[in-house]
Amino acid sequence: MQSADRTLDAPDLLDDYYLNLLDWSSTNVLSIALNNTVYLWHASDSSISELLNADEEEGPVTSLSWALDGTQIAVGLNNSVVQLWDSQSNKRVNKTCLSLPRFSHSNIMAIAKFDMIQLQLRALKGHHERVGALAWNGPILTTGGLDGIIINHDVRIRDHIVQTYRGHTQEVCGLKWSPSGQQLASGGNDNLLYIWDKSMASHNPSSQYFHQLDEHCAAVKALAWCPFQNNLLASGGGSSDGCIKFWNTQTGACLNTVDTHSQVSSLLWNRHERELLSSHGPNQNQLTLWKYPSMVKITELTGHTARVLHMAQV
Amino acid sequence: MKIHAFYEYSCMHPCFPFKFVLTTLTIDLLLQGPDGYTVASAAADETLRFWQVFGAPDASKKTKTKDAKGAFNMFHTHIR
Repeated sequence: MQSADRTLDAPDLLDDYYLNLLDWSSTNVLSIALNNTVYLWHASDSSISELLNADEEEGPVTSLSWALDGTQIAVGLNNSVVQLWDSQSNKRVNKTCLSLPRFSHSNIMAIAKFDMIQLQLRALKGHHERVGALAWNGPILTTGGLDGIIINHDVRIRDHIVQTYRGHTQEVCGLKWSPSGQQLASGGNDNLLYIWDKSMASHNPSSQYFHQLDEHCAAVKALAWCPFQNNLLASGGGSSDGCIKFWNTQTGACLNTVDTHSQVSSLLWNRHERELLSSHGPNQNQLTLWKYPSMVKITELTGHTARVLHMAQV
Repeated sequence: MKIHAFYEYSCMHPCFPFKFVLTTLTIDLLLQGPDGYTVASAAADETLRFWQVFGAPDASKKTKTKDAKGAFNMFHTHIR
């Protein structure tokens, strides 16, 4: 058993299984939403800054996701709007503050200027209820809502809604694009897992799914595409399911099922070894590392005293 | 090893007749690269934990992490 290398307090983190409130950027900045506020933790120097604080009518924040470039971040809100922010590192704000013995007029101006580095670029509308799942595919931001709808937004253009996927009848809580950007996996509170194919979608603005997979018997939030094998997807089910399933997304075949006897909230593949990490709810609230494909347990990471809700990896 | 710094400033300058309060918190610990080895987890116990679960980039770093682990175990700070 291993214990955590370090621990940070995250007060007011919403205990809501269906939300996605943690993401790590390619530029090594970890973002976390604590109720109405999004904080950035800069891993390079361990500094913390605030990205945004949503109004009471807008919040709480229900999802966040970094674009691949690591500067743009999408933030889903309880009021159904998705905000797009440019968050060029504001580490300079902290550094400046620390180096100043006192504030003077010019120093305040300097801080104000640095603060402007974080800009809200635009607000994307289209959903009718809260947006709990987000996924990027190049310039396309895919959003999933409590309304069960999945929308592809092209963030470069004015009329940003380019496709709508209708299939889920309840909240969409898991969304992941495949590494090739060809297939989208979506999981919902209707216990369904859908695979959507980009090429099918391009011919029809309101597209049919490629596969509808109904083998989980609880909400499907945890989704992870295999980095070393094409068309291999791992999915995890909620409390009354507790299973990790592996899918061939070309054929829709279920390749393997492992019962973890606990809510699966997140799955991450190791990019260096053939291993899969899963995060869990009661009784152990642990992270479990599995060997793939044998699914032999390698180790369990304990320390959390309540259910693990999110995991993120650089 | 500096672990914790907390700054709060107030300003009532005639040109800016408002209270300007700024809090900053930094943690100086092991630097972390975008390595794909470290995983962060957030839980309903309102903590964010970091795990070097996917191994370490090389053997020297591995030793360093092991040595430092005791200190990190006890480390606890507020994100805000």
